[in-house]
Amino acid sequence: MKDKLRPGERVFSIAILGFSGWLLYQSLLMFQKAPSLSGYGAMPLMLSIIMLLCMVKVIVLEDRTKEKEAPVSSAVEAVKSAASFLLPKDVLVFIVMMIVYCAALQLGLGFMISTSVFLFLSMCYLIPKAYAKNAVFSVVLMVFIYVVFKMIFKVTLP
Amino acid sequence: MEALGYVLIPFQQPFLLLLIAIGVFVGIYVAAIPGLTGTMAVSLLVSFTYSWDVNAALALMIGIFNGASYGGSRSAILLNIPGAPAAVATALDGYPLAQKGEAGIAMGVSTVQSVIGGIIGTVALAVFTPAISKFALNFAARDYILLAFMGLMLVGSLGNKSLAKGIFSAALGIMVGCVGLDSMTGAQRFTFDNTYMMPGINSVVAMIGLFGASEAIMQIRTRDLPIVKQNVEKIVPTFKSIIKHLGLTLKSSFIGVLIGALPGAGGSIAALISYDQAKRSVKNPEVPFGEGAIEGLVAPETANNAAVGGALIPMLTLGIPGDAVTAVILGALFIHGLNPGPTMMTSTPHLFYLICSCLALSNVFLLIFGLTGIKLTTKLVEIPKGRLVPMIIVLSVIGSFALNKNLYDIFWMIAFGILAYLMKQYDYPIAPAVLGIVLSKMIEKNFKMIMILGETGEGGFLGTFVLKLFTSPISFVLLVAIVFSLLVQTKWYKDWQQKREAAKAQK
Repeated sequence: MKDKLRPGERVFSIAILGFSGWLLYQSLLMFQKAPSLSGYGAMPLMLSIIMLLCMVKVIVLEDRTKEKEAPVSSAVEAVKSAASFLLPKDVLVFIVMMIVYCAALQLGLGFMISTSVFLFLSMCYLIPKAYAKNAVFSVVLMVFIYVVFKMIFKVTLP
Repeated sequence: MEALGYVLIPFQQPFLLLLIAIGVFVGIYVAAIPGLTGTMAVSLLVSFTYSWDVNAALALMIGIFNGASYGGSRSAILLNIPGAPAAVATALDGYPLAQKGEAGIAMGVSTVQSVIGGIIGTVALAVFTPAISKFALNFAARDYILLAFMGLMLVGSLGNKSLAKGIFSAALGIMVGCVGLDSMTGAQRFTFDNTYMMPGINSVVAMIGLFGASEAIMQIRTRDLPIVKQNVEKIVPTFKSIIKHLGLTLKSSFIGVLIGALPGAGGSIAALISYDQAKRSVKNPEVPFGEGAIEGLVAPETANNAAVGGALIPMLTLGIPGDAVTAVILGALFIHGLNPGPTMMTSTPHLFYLICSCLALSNVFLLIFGLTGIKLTTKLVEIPKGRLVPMIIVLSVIGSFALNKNLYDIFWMIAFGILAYLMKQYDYPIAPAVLGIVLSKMIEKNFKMIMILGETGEGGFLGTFVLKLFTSPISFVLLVAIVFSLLVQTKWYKDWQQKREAAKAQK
């Protein structure tokens, strides 16, 4: 049985091919400055060529032979289908929460505050209606983290 | 006598014993949670233990490694969800046993077999490492490159649908290792004049992202899967039953050690191959395979723990990890200023004996913790993923910050987590990337040595490299192994194999 082409798979492959091409260009620039096989640009050049060739094989020989999904009527629909496969709402919201949490740490809001808020909000999003349990779990976890990492492991917290 | 003194180090320092015990305990329960693996646990641990004494850090990591190789079997048996990749084969017969209400027997068998496999793996590690270390002194730069390629090729191809995606992932990993200042010339690579980028991307931060954060994100997709509750009673397998399966146990241990010792192939592949072998060789099992055969538990569980000792052999003798976890442990040893390889046995012999001793002791703790705490496991595997996932992210954040106290590292970790998540959606394997990151420096160092020799040596590149590939016995054997591993991935070979099997079936 043929493997199915997943929504957005071909676009992902092409995007990676593009990325590999960009790496090749950057590596060539490096290689031009030190045009020797033992120079600092040789290894990235070799790797980017390998990456590029692999992606050409994936696109030309693998993706094309896979069974296609039901055809979509418009580009917008194709994007929607790929987005819902790759980043369903829950995953997307959680990734945004992670990024906001890291940004809060970067902005200096403090580890204890940022982490407590992140834990509570993300738990409430993933397990709605269990606010009290989530709050208790967040507090217990914060105490655990403080005791184990700060006091026992002597780890510097962000 | 000196060696004995090193072996007894954990007994002289009860703290080390405690760390091994904690490691095994944590390893079992982390791996028992579906989606969380020993690799993730060890990669998180590296960032917390880098400032510790190396003996303590090793004791904890070895404990986790061994515990996690077994722990995945628990959720495989109870929920039909392998807690870790090494337990995929265990689920095939373990879950049918649980469905018959014999989860206790299944867990008892898998514990005892894991311990036996683990002990055989430890013996293999202790016996073969010194000899291989001496032999490895004969390895030239090209042999290291060939070994690294063989490892990357194996990890990129075995168990994956596409070899091209595996090789891409490995090349990406090595490329990540190239970011920063070149070690020989100090020239900038992919830094874009940003001072933060100049030291390069921290390999541990990348590993935490690739394994920790990405697995956490993956768990969100499956968080609503219903969990079937099981009633379990603990039953220790009888001595008679262990003796009955001794032949299979020894064979599976041999497979485990051998596959584990191949650079890049680990416990998960060893378990699958061993299961497949058992299926072919055990003619009349009491219960057919796939319906709850004890042999179907004996083979993979023995093999995946025997592979632990096996996987440490190439790491200690050649500086090339046997699987993803040893790749992370290798990274940890580098952080501690150690240089695993052929000279390790002479420069830091105590570490080798300490590792053997820790591994042996971890099997004792595995027996204790494996035969107890079944009810705790059932509670743990039922923790809602909605609570588990944010917890993993917070641990990943702490881990990625702890190494350099740099907040940018957290963003790198998140970026690698998202990248690995996207790659997983389209079947790009992640383990080759991690292996590539860890091996990057070694590969580039040897690559440059070969090129410099080629530019300056007698006979040029042809004489110093190409001809040597065929005239040096070590290089030739490695080259043949690489060509063979490439060949078995081709369409022609697969077609030929299919035809052969069809012909056999007709007969």
